[in-house]
Amino acid sequence: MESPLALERLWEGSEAVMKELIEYIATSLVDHPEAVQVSLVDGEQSSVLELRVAKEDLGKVIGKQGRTAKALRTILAAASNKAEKRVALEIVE
Amino acid sequence: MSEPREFQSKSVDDAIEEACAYFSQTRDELEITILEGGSSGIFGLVGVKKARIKAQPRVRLAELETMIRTVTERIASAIVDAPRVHVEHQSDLIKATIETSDVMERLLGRDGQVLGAVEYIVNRIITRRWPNAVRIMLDADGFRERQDEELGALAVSLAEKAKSLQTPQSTKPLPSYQRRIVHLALQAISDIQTKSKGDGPLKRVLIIPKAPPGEAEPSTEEDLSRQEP
Repeated sequence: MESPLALERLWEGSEAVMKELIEYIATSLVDHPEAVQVSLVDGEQSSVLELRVAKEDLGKVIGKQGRTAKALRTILAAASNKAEKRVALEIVE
Repeated sequence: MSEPREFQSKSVDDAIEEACAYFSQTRDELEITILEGGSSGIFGLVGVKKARIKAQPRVRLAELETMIRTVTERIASAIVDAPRVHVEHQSDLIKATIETSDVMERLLGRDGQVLGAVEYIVNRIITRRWPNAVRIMLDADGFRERQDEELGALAVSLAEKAKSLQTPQSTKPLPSYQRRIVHLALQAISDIQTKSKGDGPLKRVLIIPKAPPGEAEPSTEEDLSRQEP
């Protein structure tokens, strides 16, 4: 799919916003913020943000019964809504 | 040294004095919550209860408010344009209200799911740095008030159902302040009683019909029809 350059820039911008959002929340929740890595795997219709944290911090970004991960996904979905581009979150072990 | 702390003494005044001495602050410089008024009992013998207060220097409180505002605005800005947050202290929680001229529905989400998710994350971030901080409640566009009213109405209709069917009814899992709304809404209704049930921070409220005279107590454990509002 070809999209006008301006639109592409807009998408890139909004994806950067979402990437920074997840980085911000993750680093605020973990014991080892320096180990937080968020990378964007781009797709045409939707993209995936891969979140990596220190092994000891996995529980902090997943939460009891996955509550934190679920909240992160809910927030990301709302942000995707604003950006008009779907971005999914994957927590990589 | 400046985290909130509990103080006990024979009277509230004495407990406040202790708090002032501990923090080396005057009374006006402390945020004080009275937890228990205390009682000198009967002739100082029976039922003597110590007064308990919680105190925290206001300087720290201002710092906490700034942090709540910063964190909430940071997260909300990915969802709506230019959110502004006002922080307000209530008796047992801090209420942070988000204002924006952008589309409010996006911030609330269906049934307030998005607002709830942001609230959960904000609480997690704040308690990491302020282990003793009170709960933070997020609000936007009068959502909590509407939600409380709807919950109260739902509680009443569940109570009617419990009475007419003579079977216990249950709400969906609710946080403590919402369970309180259900209990309070049904306080004045006779022939039923309310009970919280479940593990963890989210519990259901059971609305149990009282057995008419002469009949056995209805079972609360079994044959429970779950009502999802």
